[in-house]
Amino acid sequence: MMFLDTSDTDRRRPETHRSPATVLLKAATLALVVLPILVTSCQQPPHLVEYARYAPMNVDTVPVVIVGKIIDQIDIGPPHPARFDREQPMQLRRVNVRIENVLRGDIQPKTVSVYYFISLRAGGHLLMGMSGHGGHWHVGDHLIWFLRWDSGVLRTMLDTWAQTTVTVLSGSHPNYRPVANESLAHQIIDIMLDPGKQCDSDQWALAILDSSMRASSFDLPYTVAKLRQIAMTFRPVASEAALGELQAFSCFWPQYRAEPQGVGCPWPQLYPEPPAELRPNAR
Amino acid sequence: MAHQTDIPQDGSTNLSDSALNNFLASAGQTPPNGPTQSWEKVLKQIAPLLFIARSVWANQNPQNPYAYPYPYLVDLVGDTETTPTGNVAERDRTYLLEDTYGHAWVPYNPVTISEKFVYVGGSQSSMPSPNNPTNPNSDGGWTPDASGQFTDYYSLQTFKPPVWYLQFYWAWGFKTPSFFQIPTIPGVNDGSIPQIAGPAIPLMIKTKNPATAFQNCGDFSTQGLYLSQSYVAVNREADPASPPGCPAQLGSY
Repeated sequence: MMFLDTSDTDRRRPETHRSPATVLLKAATLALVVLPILVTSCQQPPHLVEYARYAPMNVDTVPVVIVGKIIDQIDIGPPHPARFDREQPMQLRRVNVRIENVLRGDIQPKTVSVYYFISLRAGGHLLMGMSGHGGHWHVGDHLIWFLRWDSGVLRTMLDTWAQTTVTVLSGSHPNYRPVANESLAHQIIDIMLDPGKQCDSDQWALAILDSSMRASSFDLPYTVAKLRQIAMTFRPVASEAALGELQAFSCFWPQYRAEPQGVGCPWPQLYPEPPAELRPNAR
Repeated sequence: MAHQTDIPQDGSTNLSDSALNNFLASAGQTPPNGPTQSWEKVLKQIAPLLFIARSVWANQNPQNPYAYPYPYLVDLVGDTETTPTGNVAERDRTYLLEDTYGHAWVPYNPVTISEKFVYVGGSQSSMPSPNNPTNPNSDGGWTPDASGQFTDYYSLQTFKPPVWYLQFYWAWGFKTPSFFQIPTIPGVNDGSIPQIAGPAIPLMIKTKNPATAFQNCGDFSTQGLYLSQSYVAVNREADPASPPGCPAQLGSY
């Protein structure tokens, strides 16, 4: 490599000052110092363009789903006008993620770079990105990522919007192994609601309170079954949180009212029971 | 019933936050009267019709009076502001969509809530993009979760000059009985936004306003937003280190 070719320089220097071992050592040191810098600085940003329009994400068709911990995030290049609206500046970002679980896709559990675009004028929904940069992520956060391959790199299934990820508050799950043929939805719910490594009862309760509603969007009956399971563990705080969520669920989904456990909606004025013919059937 | 005591049912209640206009004026901003007045006008036209339609259905179908709820207001149920060190402020406001009975919106009747902005003053380039179908890279609005809630995130995102604007919400995409007919909202479902077919209802915003009764909360047709690097203010607030919210209503949480 060019920076190892020191022959021209060496000829002008007295050879008495340099033994072959010294030259080799210096070259190796130089390589160790310069190579990473060169590799980093010469790394071209992938040729990605933002999605032209919003397309609802169907989890069943997402090619790569991982659970990973955020290491860092950087902006790639300056903002540019969006394809869908020249008035909206778009920023390409790269977030480095340490993979903890692979739920779908052929990918090795290692550190990977995930790219995404964000509209710098977007508002309304929760945005992707680190806290203080439009989003709510922090270094060390665990997330489930819905990804696809594009130009040889991984990118999020949506631009801008945080719904292309799921925040996992129950810690890391290094020993998680799905049962054979377990659906992706069940795996996602397991990761969200099962206590992970070093997840104490308080953190588990927080995960239950914060994540149950989102979990239900993947599979409502399985989420309810999981909450019932947790409620029956009688673990302090966590089982109370699960019971509270079951009570709330019985308000929103009347098919779960008057269940054997005696779970009832605590706010019947706000969530009256609909007539029988309008009650959605439990799946 | 939740909120029945302070929901204006006939459009006669004060919907205009005149104090907001005064505040904007004191900040050197000229609030545009036209959009607010036209929004209030259609809101006052539509509000009584919702209650009439509700009564007609309930009388004809006493066995299932709640079959066709009509979106009516968004009630502020959560409000937090964060200002990370060295970064721009963000304010997250969670609203509960309620029908004309004051019931939370039910998940078996899908609905979308969209928004419209009207620029008031400050940096035009800082205006956020509204969350409605005119933005191709958004899903066109909020779908309330199963509890009937949705969260609106307000932030400049990056270091930019401040901006003042007005925000309006409307609901669309919900199921209605065959007899249901209401006026269109100018600039929304009058063909202005082709994606929106069918009825749309301008929503009142139940939020904090120190100038009104009802424990300092009231229903308004719009709310004023001020986005800056250091804080996000709603209506006439100064820096809301602890954002004021409405007191919990009977039956809500």
